[in-house]
Amino acid sequence: MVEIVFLIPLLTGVMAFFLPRTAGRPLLVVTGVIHLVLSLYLWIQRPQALLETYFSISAEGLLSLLVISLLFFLISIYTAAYLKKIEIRSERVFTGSMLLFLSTMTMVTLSDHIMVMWIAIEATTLASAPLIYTHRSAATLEATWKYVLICSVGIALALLGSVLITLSMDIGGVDVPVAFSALTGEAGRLDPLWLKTGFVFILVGYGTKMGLAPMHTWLPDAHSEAPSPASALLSGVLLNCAYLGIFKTNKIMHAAGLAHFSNTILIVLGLVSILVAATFILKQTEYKRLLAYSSIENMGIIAFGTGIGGLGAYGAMLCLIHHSLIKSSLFLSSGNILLGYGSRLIIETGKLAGRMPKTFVAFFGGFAGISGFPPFGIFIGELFIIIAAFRSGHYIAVGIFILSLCVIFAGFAKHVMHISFSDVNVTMRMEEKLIMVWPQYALLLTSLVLCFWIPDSLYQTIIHAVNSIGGGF
Amino acid sequence: MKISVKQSPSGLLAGLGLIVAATFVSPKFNLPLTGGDALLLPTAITLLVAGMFLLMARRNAIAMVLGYIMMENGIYLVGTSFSVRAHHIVEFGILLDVLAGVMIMAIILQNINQAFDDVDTALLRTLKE
Repeated sequence: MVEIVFLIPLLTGVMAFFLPRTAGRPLLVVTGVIHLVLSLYLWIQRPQALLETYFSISAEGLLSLLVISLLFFLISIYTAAYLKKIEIRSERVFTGSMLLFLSTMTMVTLSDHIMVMWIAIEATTLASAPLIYTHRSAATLEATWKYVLICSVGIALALLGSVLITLSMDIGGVDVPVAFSALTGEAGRLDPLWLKTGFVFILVGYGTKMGLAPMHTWLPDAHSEAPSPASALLSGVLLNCAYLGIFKTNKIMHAAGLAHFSNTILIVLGLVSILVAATFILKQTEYKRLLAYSSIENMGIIAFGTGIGGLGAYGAMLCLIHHSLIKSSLFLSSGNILLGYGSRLIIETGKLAGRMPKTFVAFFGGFAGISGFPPFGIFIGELFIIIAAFRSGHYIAVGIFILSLCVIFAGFAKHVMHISFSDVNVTMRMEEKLIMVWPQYALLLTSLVLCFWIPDSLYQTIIHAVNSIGGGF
Repeated sequence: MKISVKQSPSGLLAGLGLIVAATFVSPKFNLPLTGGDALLLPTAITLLVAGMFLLMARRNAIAMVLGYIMMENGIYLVGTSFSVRAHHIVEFGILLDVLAGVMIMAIILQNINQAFDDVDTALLRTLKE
C-alpha cells in the first residue's frame, strides 16, 4: 500500500477546505507527523504498490520522499506559529493548498509511469498556485500568473516529450508498459532519434519547473511573493520533484547508450543557470529574491554535476539533499526577518545580529551552508563535482563553474553582511519566538550531521540511485 | 468584462503560411500513424505552433490562455494519433489537469480584470530586475 502516503494528505487537504479556520493549523502538523512516519515505513519496508503499473518505489524517489517528509514536518510546525502572527484572509485555502501540495509532490516521488509523472508534476503547479496568491496584492497576482502560465506551458512541452518517447517505443517495436523502470530495461531497443527528441522536450519542460535558465523567469517572482513557509516548500522540495522527472528520463538515456548526448545538454543548461544566478545575485535588492536566485544557482550545480557523471553525480545528489535542507531553513528565517522589519528590501534591514539574535544564527548558518563553507554538505558536493569535472577533462566548463561560484559567494556575502551588521534605523514589529527558530536549527543540524555521518542505508540508496546514471566512486 | 480584440492581418497570414508549411513538413517525419489519416499530423503541428505563437505574440491574457489550450490540443492530437498504449485512466488524469489548469488561469484572469480593469498583461510588469 504505497499509495496511502499521498492519499492521506489529499484527504486532509480536502478536509481543510471545510473545517473551521484555525483547525487547519494542528491539521498541518498532524498530517506532517503521519506523513513522516509513513515515509519512514516505506524507507524501511519498501513494500509493493497496489497499482504497480503506475507507482513503484525507486531509490531516487525514496530519497526525495524522505526529504519532502522531513521538510514538511518541520515547516508545518513553523507554519502553525506563523499563521498566528499574520493575517491571511483565506487561511483555509492556504492550509488546504499546503496539504494538497504535499500530496501531489509525494505522488511525483512515487510515480513510475511516464504520464502519471506528468500528471503529478502538473498537479503540483496547480496546488501551489493558490499559495503564491495568498496575500492578494497586484504583485502576487503577477507572480501567480507568470508561475501558472510559464510552468503550464513548460510542462505541456514535457507532455509532448513523453508522447515522443512512446513514439520511440512504437518505432522500436517495444511492447512494455510506459513506465520508467520497464523502459530502462528495454532502452536499447527504443528508437534513438525520437528518444533524444523526447529527452530534449522533457528537459526543457521539467527544467522550466526546476528553474534552469533560461526558463527560470517565473522563479524569483513566485518565491519572493509567496508567504515564507510556502517559499520554503517551493524551493526546498518542488524543484527536487521536477529534477526527479529529468533524472528518470536521463536514466533511460544512459541505459540506451545516449549518455553523451544528455550529459552535454545538462552541462550547458547547468552552466547557463549558474551564470545567470551570478549575474543577478550581485545587484539584488530584495533578500527573498536573493535566495531565489541562489536556488537557480544550486539547480544549475545539480544539473552540471549530473551531466559530469561519476563522482559528480554523487556530488549532485548530495547537493540536492543539502540544498533542500539549508534553503528551506533560509526561507523560514527570511520569514522571521520579514515579520520583524516589515520590508523585503535589503537596504531597509540591518543589525540582525543585535535585533534578532536567534534568527541571525539560523540565517547566517544557512548562508554559510549554502555558499559552500566546509562543515556543510554543499561544500563536499561541490568539491566532488569539481574533482569529477577535472578528471573527465571538462577544463573550460569547470573554470566557468568555479569562477561563477566565487562571484556568487561575493555577492551573497555582501548582502548578508548588510542584513546582519549594518546600521539601519527601524523599529522592530515582532519579538522573535523560539518556536519560529528551532525548525531552522533542526534543518541545519540535520545537514551538519549528514556531513559527518551518513547512515549506511542512506549511503547505499544514494549510490544505488546514481549508479543508474553512471555515477559513483 | 469588455475585451477589444484587434485582428492583425499579419498574424492571420502567418497562420495560413503555417498550415501550408505543416502540410509540407509532416510527411518528412515518416511516422507510423495508426489512424492512417494524412491530415492528422499537419493539424497537430499547426495547432502546436499557432498556440505558441499566440502565447508569445499576444498581450491579452485571454488570448494567452487560448494559446495554451491550442497547444495542449495539438500535443494531445499527436498523442492520440500513434500511441495506443496510454490507458484511459491516464488520459483522464491528463484531461483533469488541463481542465483544472485552465480553471485556475480563469480565476487569476478574473482577479487581474478586477484589479486592473483590463486583461492586458503589459500591466503585469512590476516584478523585474
